[in-house]
Amino acid sequence: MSSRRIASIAAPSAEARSPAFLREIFLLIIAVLAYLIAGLAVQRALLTSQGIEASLQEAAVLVLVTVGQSIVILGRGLDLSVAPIMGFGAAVTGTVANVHHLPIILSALLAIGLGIVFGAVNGVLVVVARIPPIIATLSTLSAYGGLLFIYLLSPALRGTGDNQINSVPDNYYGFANHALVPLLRPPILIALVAVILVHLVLVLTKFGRSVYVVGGNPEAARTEGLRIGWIRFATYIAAGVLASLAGFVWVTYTGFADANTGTGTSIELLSVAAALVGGVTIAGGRGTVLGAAAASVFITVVGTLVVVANVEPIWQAGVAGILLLLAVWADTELRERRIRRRLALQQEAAEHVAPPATGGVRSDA
Amino acid sequence: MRSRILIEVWRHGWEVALAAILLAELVIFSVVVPDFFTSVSDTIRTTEQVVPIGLVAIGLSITLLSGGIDLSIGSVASASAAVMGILWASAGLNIWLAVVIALIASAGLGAANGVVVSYMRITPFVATLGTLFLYDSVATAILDSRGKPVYGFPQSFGFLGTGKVIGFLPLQLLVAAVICVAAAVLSTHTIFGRQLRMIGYSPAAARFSGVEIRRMQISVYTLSGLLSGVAGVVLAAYFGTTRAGIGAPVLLPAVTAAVLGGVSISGGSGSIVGVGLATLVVGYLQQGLLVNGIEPLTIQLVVAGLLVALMGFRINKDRVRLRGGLKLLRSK
Repeated sequence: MSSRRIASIAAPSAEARSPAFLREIFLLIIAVLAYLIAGLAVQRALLTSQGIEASLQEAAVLVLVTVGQSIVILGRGLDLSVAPIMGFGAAVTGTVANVHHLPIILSALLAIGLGIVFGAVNGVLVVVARIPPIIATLSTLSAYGGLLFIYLLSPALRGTGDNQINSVPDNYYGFANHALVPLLRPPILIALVAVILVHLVLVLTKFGRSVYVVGGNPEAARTEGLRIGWIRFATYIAAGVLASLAGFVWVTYTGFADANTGTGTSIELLSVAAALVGGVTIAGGRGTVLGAAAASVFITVVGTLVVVANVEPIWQAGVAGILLLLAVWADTELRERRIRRRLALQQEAAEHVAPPATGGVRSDA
Repeated sequence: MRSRILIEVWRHGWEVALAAILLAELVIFSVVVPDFFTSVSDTIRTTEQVVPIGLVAIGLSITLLSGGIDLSIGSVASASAAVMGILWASAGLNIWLAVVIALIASAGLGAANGVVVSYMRITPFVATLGTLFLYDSVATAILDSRGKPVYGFPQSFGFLGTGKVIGFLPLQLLVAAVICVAAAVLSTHTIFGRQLRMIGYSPAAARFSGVEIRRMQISVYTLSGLLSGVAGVVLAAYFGTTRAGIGAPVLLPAVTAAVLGGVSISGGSGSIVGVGLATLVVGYLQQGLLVNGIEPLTIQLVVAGLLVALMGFRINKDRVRLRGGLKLLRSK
């Protein structure tokens, strides 16, 4: 089976992606404008390079988790367990940094390995045991949360008696909070690289195209002989890795992690919301991680604004909720209008053309 | 007669299995834990925290049966408790009047979900994920308008949370049992119930049979909102206070209870009685392990394991049977 064949099946989703590119720019422009206004009107510190770096760093965590979530949703799945996976990534990174003095790069690799393991468990539950994704990952949300708690409380496993991470060594903290070039601290770089890499893989490679096909048109994927199980399995691993990496990023720049890291901010739900605001459809097969990443930045900026404007932090969630409803509603309306217009055009064309001779090949335009 | 009973048992296999698990749990815990059941009174008292989860799970199950889902249940419960608390504490309303208004408000929030699902045609999962965030913000904002926590409810209201009828039966449990039975009857013995399953099983078939899908959807989500509202009020009465996010922790256990109770996540099938039993199965398991001195988050792990094991069993049991049937067909 040629990869060109897959590309042609995935083509409808590629077509549907073109307006989403507008969305990404739109979301980012509004985010930048809002940020500027907040900086000029309320808190000048936001506009220093330090302030911008700190805000972007904060966004990096949600971006990483949302990109992973988007991959799973694109393949018609869902991963609610990203929150405790992120918590685990943070807790393990903090522990090996403090207790075992592991070099940063090894800690990052460890976090990635952890993400693979947790993602694989999700993948097995969904692909092999065939449990619906929402139930499977809801269970692992609880299970990983429980494991994280046990891990944090166990001196035998961690080699230390404190039951949370209160600080990380200077080399970690300095690594995360020191800009390589202005505006580009390593966490921001990691998120940026992850977004671009994942996007390229999804759009250019055979595997990435297969994810779109499996999500958008499982029947076609089956007739094409795609290895649906393996593809879906891989999406859960990707989500696990990115969530765990988000935890790594989080603990290096905050120096803090406990049993509520990730779950405390309901990042499992916020990441789904961000993905959908970014144009990924919940049924899968449509949308880009670029949009999802832009929406994550947007939602983080809203959070910053809310704090700066001295409104209750909970309104970040409220704004995300309204945004989600509006974005999805607009998507539905626009798509339907497009379909209606296309149908009208087809009908018009059909009226101008003489009816085909009986037995002729019907062409589905 | 005996065969009819057997047929009924077979038809309700999952509920029977849940009842058996519940029984086994009770027996094991009363043997293992010395003072798990010192008296009938204690037996029933341990179910108190479980009741709000059960109420919310019933509402959720109704939306699941209709082919949808309601993720905003926890937030609606929070909003209900917030509205009630503020009306009582800041506006000085009679507590029961405040409860009634809170329940109406909850039903309204549910109806809004229904409108978003039916008229804006947003997938229920997405729609209620949006309102989950939105309602939670609203609830917190309402409470923050007062600036200090609401507590010190009148005794008659606290009775709803902790009171006992005929000496030992918690009022909460009684309320939940009545609602559970009513919902079960509604979903199996009425036209509404039949249409409910129909739109869940096949919306197209339902439309061709003349079911007004939009109206059904709005009623379904209104009902779910109302039940979540009741859960919120019960939570406030039980804790004796109204605080932000009081309902949030019930969402995931409620999904667990609904799914464990045998309600299909893709709509159309499941029983409310099963959901009620599943709530008790999970509730007693948690209580039993807690009494045994096991950490709450470890218990969470056990419950998750149970859910995965039972779901895996249910789904693959059908698959194995199907495969066997196909083999049989081919061999003939």
